[in-house]
Amino acid sequence: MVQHLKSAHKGGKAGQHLKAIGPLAGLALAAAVLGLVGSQVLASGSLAVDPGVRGGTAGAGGFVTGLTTQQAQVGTDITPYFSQVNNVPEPADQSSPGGLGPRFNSNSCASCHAQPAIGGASPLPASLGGPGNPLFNVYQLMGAQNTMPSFETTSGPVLVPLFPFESDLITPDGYVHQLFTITGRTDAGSCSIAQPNFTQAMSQNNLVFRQPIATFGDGLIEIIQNVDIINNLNANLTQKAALGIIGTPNIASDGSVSRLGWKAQMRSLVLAAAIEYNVEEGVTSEFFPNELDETPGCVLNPVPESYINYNPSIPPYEYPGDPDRFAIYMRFLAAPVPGACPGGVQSSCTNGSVQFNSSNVGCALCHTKSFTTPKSIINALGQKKATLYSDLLVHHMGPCLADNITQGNAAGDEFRTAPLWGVGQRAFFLHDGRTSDIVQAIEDHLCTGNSQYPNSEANASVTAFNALPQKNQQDLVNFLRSL
Amino acid sequence: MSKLNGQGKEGSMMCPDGLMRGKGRRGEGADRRPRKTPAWAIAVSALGLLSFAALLLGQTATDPGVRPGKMAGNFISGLTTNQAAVEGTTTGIFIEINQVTNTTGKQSDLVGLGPGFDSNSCSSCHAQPAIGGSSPATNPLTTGSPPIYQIDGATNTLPSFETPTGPVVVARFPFKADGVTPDGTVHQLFSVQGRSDAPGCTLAQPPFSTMTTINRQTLPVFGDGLIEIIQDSDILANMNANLSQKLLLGISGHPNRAADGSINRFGWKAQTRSLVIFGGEAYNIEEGVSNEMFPNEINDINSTGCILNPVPEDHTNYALTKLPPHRFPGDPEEQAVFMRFLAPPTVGGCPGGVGGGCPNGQTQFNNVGCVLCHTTSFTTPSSAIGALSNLTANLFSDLLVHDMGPCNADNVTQGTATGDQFRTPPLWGAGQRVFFMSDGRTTNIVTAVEDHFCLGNSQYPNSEANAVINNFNALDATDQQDLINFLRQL
Repeated sequence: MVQHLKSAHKGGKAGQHLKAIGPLAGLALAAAVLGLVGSQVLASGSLAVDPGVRGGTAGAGGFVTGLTTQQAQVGTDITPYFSQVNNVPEPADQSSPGGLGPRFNSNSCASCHAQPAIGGASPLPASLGGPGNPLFNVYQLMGAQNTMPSFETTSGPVLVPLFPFESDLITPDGYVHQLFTITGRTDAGSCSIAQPNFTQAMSQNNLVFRQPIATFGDGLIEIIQNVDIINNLNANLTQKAALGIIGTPNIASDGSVSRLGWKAQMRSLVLAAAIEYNVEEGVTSEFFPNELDETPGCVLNPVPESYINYNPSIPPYEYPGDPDRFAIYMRFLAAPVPGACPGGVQSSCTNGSVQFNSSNVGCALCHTKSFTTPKSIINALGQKKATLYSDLLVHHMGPCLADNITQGNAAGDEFRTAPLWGVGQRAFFLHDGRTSDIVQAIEDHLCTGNSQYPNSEANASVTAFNALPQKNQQDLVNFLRSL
Repeated sequence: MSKLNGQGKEGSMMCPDGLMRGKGRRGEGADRRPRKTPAWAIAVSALGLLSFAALLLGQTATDPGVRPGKMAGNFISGLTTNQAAVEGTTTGIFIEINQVTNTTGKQSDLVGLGPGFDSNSCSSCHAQPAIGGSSPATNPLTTGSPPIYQIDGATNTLPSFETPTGPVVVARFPFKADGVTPDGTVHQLFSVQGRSDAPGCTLAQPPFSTMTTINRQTLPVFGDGLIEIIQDSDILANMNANLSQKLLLGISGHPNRAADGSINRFGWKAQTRSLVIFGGEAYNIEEGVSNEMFPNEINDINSTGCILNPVPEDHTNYALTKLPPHRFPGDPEEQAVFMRFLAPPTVGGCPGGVGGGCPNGQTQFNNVGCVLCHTTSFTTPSSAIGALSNLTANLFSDLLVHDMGPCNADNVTQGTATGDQFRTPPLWGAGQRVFFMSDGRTTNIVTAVEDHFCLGNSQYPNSEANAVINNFNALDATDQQDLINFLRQL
């Protein structure tokens, strides 16, 4: 009953939940266990209210302290690259940023990685004082003839579209289908290609989305030892079993634990940067040298478009290409710093943290509070406690969140435990940015399995959260917004 | 001469003459077939009398052996002065011998070996016929005093599948110890335990004697700078060409895909997209040197006291005062430049000498259908490296993966390449290779051709090469030998 009413609250997803009503006997029992908690609980699932995006100073965006003078200098030198705006032509001396397209989502890293500072998450909407969805300033630049897909809204998150299946709706696809093309741009010659048919994909229910992930602190995450991740996986097994929590690592091509991205499908910042450079901006690099669309007339630069500069007289001659620069920039970005407790009463967040970590609610069983990094060649990143609130594993999240995309070991319903550091300053939650209400984001962790996918591993935790007294619920939510 | 001896050894082991050896091959096949008699019986009847006669006759060709000389190993012509200037530095990175830590007072940047490793330098295994190539005739893991696996006091034993005259192979476990859960990753042969520069490290070698293990040998990298920039659209157009011929012979093939959605093309299963990513993977997997692409030690899970260096062990040099070309982020990038600039292998003289029949051999290669997978050439697009632009790459591969039957299957899935699927190995340079097939099981290129034939079972379908091998076996002796000579000319 709880689930059903929550579905009604969420409108469009009611049908999906109704299909699951049959096996909901357990949930009905859970509702009975909850007892007479009051109709308000049943209507929303929670009595807590999201205090909203934490204001004040951005608790992120600076470089980590303790860099050597030389490292800091390199960091300063490469900072502009993350914000550079790429056009189509790539000059032979790489003197101006080029390589955009033939297909692209945006023209700069920083356009989408923006909140609360460069390197962060999807920008705030205008209603919250932010710039809104940045793609509205990008898609028709220089005469490009793109139309804006209906799922992108000025006040919503930046969304990258993926097709779970090819047009036969059977063969797995799983790749990003870029929103826009360079067709019509004055710097794109005679390139003439159409945008993907998102209307058709939507009508076929073959369209899923992912929003940008903040990169603050990723320099710590990428060096956390595999052994620590696996030891944490194998810790508290009794508690996890009682709550239905398991989790599994996604594995990189060298056999180590992959850890970045919504499905932990990327191993390191430099690989992530190279993947995204081609996927999001269409800029080829030495990692991914070819254009993703090679329609005649649309491959307008020699490949790859970002590459080693071999000429020592042209600075900066030091690096193979932009992905390496982006990686250094992100690596040096400090982890987010928690802010004041919303409402101004610190004891609320202190108690919220206790509730979050309690074995009863069990959020911390997946959102592992911290790992300690090993010694690093970057001293400033070595032997540091990374308070990321993630186990870096992927978990079953149920058919309600499933995107039907398999990436490595992560199946269609499995997602990485999203790190929560910095969550207090994020505007949109969950992989597809479906809500800007952090309480709703918690509730969306609750999902009953179906014939295709098992229950969400978070079901017992969310049920326990909903059973907390109102004050404890609110304290927990306040705690999250303090991060 | 030693290479010729190696060749002769295999030949004499098989049989003194070509015809008999052909029967031997069939006999070998028969050894496998009883395990799946129903499929075999059906397939044989489907093959028909003609091809059954060919099976009985077998092939009659003889492998002329490894072509002498060094037809590879130089940088490609046409590099700019600045590009060519990195040859010395990048070659140095490719041949450098890595140690565990800097405790023995050697050059400080040659650290990072282990905790697990297969070898201690790129060029030890990428050696034939020149640096950057394939497995040398003598297994480099078995040479030296002490050998690589016992340098500096390491206490390793040599797994039984590594032999002095065999290929250097790496080991993968298709499944975890339960025999069911897929593994598929490389398990390094050796541990740094016991080395004087690995104090306190405890890491046992993997239990190769008790685990089901598959092997893969070293691939040469010559010409890979061309392969990595071949357009996806050209690979797909080639896949969709000659469909009626392919259908007739049972050939399909599909691309393996990279993280950006483009077509993967390196490695035995086309599991790797580019040379720099290959460099990063191999550095951590084969030598245990963590780097910015793969920053942690793989063996931090099952070792104790073995994390002896800050991570990643190979990393960006931030020293602003150091002169170029020393400013690359790390060794994988420099290894990639070295490999990218290595020219494709050069075709040599026909092994049969004047009138050796190599032109006819290529005609037969095309006629029997080898070329439907071993695509003669692709043309590279315009490249940022002018010397790699708009070149015909005679690689003899479609860069797709194909079903090769249970006899070749290694039960390892990588991306969309399943347990019986392998990339069509490029054949340029095949004339100078010592070992063939993914596991280097044979030194005889005729056997390698025959090993493409394999009947399916309940788990895996027929090899896509079956009809082509039947066609080859049905050729007359001269045409078969010419085809083999053509391959050894490459």
